[in-house]
Amino acid sequence: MDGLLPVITLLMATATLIAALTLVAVKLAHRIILVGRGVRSAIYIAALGEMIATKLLPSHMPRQWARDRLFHQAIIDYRRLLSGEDGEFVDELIKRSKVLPSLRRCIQPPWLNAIRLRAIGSYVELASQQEIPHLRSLLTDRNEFVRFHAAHGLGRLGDVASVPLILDLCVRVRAWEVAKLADSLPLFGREAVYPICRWIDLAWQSPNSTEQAVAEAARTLGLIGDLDAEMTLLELLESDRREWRIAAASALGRIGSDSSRFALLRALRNESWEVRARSVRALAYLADGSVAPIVSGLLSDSQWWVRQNAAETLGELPGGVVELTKALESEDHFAADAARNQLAELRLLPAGVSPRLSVETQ
Amino acid sequence: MIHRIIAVASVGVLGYFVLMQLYLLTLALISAFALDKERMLERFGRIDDMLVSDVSPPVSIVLPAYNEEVGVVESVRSVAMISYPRFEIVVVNDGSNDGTLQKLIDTFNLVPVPLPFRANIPTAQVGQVYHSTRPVSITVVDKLNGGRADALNAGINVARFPYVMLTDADVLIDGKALVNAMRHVVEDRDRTVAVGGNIRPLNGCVVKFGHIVEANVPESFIERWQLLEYVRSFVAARPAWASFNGLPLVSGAFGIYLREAVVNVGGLTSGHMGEDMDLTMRIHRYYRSRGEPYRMVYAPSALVWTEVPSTRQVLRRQRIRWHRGLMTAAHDFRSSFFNPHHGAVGMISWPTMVLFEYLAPIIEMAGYLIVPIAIILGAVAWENALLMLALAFLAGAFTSLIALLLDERYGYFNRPLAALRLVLIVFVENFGLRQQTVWWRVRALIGGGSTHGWGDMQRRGVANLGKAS
Repeated sequence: MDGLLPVITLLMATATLIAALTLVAVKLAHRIILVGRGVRSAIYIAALGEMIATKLLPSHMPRQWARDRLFHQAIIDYRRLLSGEDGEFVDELIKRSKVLPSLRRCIQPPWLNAIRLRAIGSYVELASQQEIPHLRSLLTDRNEFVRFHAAHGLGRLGDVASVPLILDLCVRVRAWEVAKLADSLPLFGREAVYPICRWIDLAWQSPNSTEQAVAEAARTLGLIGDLDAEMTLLELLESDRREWRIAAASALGRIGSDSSRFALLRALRNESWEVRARSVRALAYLADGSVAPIVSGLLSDSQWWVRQNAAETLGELPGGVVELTKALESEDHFAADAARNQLAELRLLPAGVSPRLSVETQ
Repeated sequence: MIHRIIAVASVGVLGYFVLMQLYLLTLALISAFALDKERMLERFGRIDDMLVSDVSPPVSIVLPAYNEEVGVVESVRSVAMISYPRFEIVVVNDGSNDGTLQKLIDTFNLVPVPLPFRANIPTAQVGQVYHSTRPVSITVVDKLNGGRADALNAGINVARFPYVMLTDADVLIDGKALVNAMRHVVEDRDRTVAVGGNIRPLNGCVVKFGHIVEANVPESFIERWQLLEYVRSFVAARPAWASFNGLPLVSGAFGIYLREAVVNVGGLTSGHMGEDMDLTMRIHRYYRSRGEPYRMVYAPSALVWTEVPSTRQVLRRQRIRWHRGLMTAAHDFRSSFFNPHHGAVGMISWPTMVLFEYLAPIIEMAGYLIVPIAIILGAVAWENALLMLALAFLAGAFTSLIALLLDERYGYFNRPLAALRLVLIVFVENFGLRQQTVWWRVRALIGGGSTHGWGDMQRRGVANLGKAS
């Protein structure tokens, strides 16, 4: 022990000294890197701006530019900002700088994940139609970040053929990645409605289909808001899976046809309170005042969220405020509370209404 | 015989410190992996997509305020500027004696409204409720004084949304804190019941229009030391605890909870000096006892900046209050101690919390008494005692430096002088301040020192913290 203690103390002192020096060095390096980044960014923005303004393509660009993510960021920003002739010139600059082949190389597996992910982020923003086969192949990459970035890239390029591939992927991956992949689906636009509906029809029969994948697909249909999706959503609203009914209820509100309205009104009697809550909220999108008296009935629902959503919907529907004002006189304290809450929110509470703070417990 | 007992006790104290430092180093190592994963998601996870999503869960932000006239407006402004699709702010004025309420009314054009709400959690009597929709939905609840926990309970009652963020009126919340925290909820809505955030001292930072424009290492020794403590706790320990769902504490300065979970456990305990730890542990116990799947996560990139004590008197009161809170929690949740039914909390984080936080001041104080006696009696050679002391301090310094290195990924405090100041404080804290803190914590255990329910913190106001005292 006597001999060991000085050795351990010495080792610990050395380790502490090394850690202290490392910390100071890392902090200094960090600062130098930050300053360097600022300078490089300024150079790229100025150089690209000059080229675009003068429409002069350089015979060649420094090779290291194509590998620098700050250059990628600068050119992405210009591409987002410019359209027409200037936009085409930026596309030509992208080609001339050979940035895409450089990024493709960096995405390949031998590289570290941090380098690959940095590259895929820029690649999906800069990719042109010629890159679609490569992006599709990335949907099967072992890294989940690469996969959902690829899905976003395909969405940006509008490659509808890859929609079923993305939805198939949703069945195989973890919940959080499904949510990330689903975010890319609205980017495909109206063209994606048919493949999504067809995929849902097939998934319905398949034992492998996960609840979340179909629910996300239904939600996407709602976000796109095309009438062609109505039949599929109506079927989902009648399904025996709660998650599907909830997603379909939200989506139908954005479609807005008569059939949607009837289906949503029917769903107000659904045994699941989540379906009732979503359906009543979806009715607000239809802006049809004739449903206000029916919605008013849900102010007495047993669930707080349903009452809250019903009150919010009435606040937005034509004639809804009249129903809310009537509900103030309701013998059901819960309905009166929900109505009072919403009217106070809208600053439409009639004068003389008792400023009572409800203290009932649920 | 006495010689032997004292020699064994001295070695025991050393063994305790070695074990504690090994535990802290292990936590730091696990935290490094957890932070890497988090950083990856933050950089490449397209988190900003949540900002335009209509399915991002809405959040009610509850700010309790007691005599916060100086900084409350700046705090509400910083909260109002948070990037998130749907949220409301609920400020609870807990019977302030100063102009807190009037300042809020004047600044945000609040009007009295008969806002109905249900008192799911019993609180002190609520008076008037005020509301404004500019710049965002702000509700101010004026109630009789009942302490921080009672004020938060009143805020939870008034909150409309399914998730409540409990915080303080003396904090500045980073613009992306909410989206970085709620990301965890979106990823697993069914199981996530709480998300903790990363707290930083605001002292020394330059604040403009409710935002930090320059993050600096504080000038004063006491404030700088607290920065080190926050980094050790929030960067090198909590990510590790959260990685095995064993978070024993979601900090009171930033915690997002499923409202239903808080209501189910009866809200925060009024009068408890460690109400945040008490709430976290009660939620653990609630879900564990029912066998329901749940998780409490930690979001290191959800940054919140808070004013820390700048004088020894206030720091002493705060530390005594915190340690009493830990003492009460250690007693209340003794059934969780090495309880396999309570999972990682029962088997790892809670026992180590008690062993290395609750008991640490007693053992350290015992070490300061035993070792000199051992030297005088000749039970331990003075050279060895000195080496033992040096080893204990060096191990502590090493762990602190590792924590600061882990913190580097956030890129704050990277001026050359800041780096030197931080390294200096790592070594200097062992000579005086550490011993003083140990003494305060021992006093908390034996019942000395007086504290107040709201901590008696003298606020300078968040906008003034960058200026000299």
